[in-house]
Amino acid sequence: MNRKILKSKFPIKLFWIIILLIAWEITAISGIFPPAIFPSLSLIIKALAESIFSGEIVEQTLFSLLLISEGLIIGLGGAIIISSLSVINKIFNSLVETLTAIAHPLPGIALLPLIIIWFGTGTRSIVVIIIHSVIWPMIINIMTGFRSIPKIYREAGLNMGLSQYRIIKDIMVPASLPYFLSGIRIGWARSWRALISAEMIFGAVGAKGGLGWYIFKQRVFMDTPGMFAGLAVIIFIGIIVEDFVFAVVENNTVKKWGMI
Amino acid sequence: MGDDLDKMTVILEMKGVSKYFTRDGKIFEVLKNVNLEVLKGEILCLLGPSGCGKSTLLRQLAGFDERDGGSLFMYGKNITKPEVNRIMIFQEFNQLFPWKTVLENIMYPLKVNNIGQSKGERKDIASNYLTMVGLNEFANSYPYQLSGGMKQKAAIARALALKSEVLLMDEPFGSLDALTRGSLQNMLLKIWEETKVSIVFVTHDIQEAIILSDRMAIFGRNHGEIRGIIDNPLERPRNNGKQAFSEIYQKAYSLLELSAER
Repeated sequence: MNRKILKSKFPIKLFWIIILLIAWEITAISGIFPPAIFPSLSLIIKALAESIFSGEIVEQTLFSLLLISEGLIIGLGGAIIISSLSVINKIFNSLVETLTAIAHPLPGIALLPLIIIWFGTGTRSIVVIIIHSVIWPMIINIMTGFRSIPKIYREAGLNMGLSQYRIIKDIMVPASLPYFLSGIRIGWARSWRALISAEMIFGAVGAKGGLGWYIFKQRVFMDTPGMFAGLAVIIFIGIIVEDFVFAVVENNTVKKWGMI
Repeated sequence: MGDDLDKMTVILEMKGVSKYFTRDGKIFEVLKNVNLEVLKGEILCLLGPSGCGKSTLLRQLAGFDERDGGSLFMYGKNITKPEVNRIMIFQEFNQLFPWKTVLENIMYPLKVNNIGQSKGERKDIASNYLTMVGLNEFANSYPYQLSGGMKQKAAIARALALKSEVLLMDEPFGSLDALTRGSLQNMLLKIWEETKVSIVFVTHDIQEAIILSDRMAIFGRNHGEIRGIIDNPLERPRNNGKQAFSEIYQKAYSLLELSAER
């Protein structure tokens, strides 16, 4: 019963998206706002199609996704290693807690000037900002997950002769998977914010730059439909990843196991 | 005759076991110089009201906690940490891992302990024990799909599959309804007879202790010490209609000192 409701979430989302699009189109056609501010759907779709066919937006999206993947993977790997070490060692744990308290409230964008001095304005700086934006919330989530594990799992594990390594890998990780997943979700959202803001400030890094630069560039040309085309791509990727990656992973793990 | 001799072997030994807690600056003695032996193949019940220290003593036997004095031995060897030859069955229903099916929950510790040559062999071992506790139909279910009683059966199967010599059971049926509890007691007695496993069974239910035990160690209220050991030679199956049952009940009841609050 529960699963059916969850599965039917996507059509409901689609329904509302269609309603919103219709409302948008009606507003645009009514002419309350000039098209240069509030373009109609057809103009946006045209701009999107053009930049897809020219390959521009595709390349820039791939460029951005690549940077995000790099930052997310390094951030997640780092978060797992750091959290695991904190479980094993109390002194390290207190160090990580202090570092998290210092670094977590710092917005990545506030560090930008410093990072430019340290790493320049290349892709490396963007990845560094993404890592900074994702690693702290992921550490917080994973450690909360570890702390929330019922004592009984650990004791049952010790009783059946598990090594410390197996207790982390085979018990603590799966037992805290709901927290892991929400950590990755937060990391994913944070990485987009970091990426887009960094790209807008850095301008074209690499050959062409990414989506953030694409959107920013359209403003220079007063190409409002083009700006919306860039936003549409971000929204589209967000929905796809949420409903076809995160939801699928959840359905096959924590939901299947009755953990959430 | 051989059976009787076997029963005389001491498998677990507790010598002067003491443990304190400090709460609000006051010291509470949870275990006060406890001396007790568990014989191989017997069911020994630790009977007492809640807070008397019986679960704390069981956790000592498991090797989970530190203590303030005394020693524990298994076959004369010091108990220093949890080991596979003494498996704890907890009262809580969540001792199975929710991310593994019932079958996988039993197979996983077999793999860790190198029991069974192949995955197929481990699966056979696990299935056998699931059948023994009557859960074979639910081998591929996840723990959340089982009732409380079934989860406890699966936990028992997991311990037995590991060829554990002692089951340390901490009020394992305490959260079950009376009917389910009765059927699990019968099941436990059946597999005990089949496997000859030694059992230390913690309970606060006099009737349960009499139905299951060969001997009962009685804890008083808030004393942290054993007030007496009652032999329970009644023939199985036992039921509380019989005269001898009531006599043992009275004996246990008076040792528990439930009426005389100090």
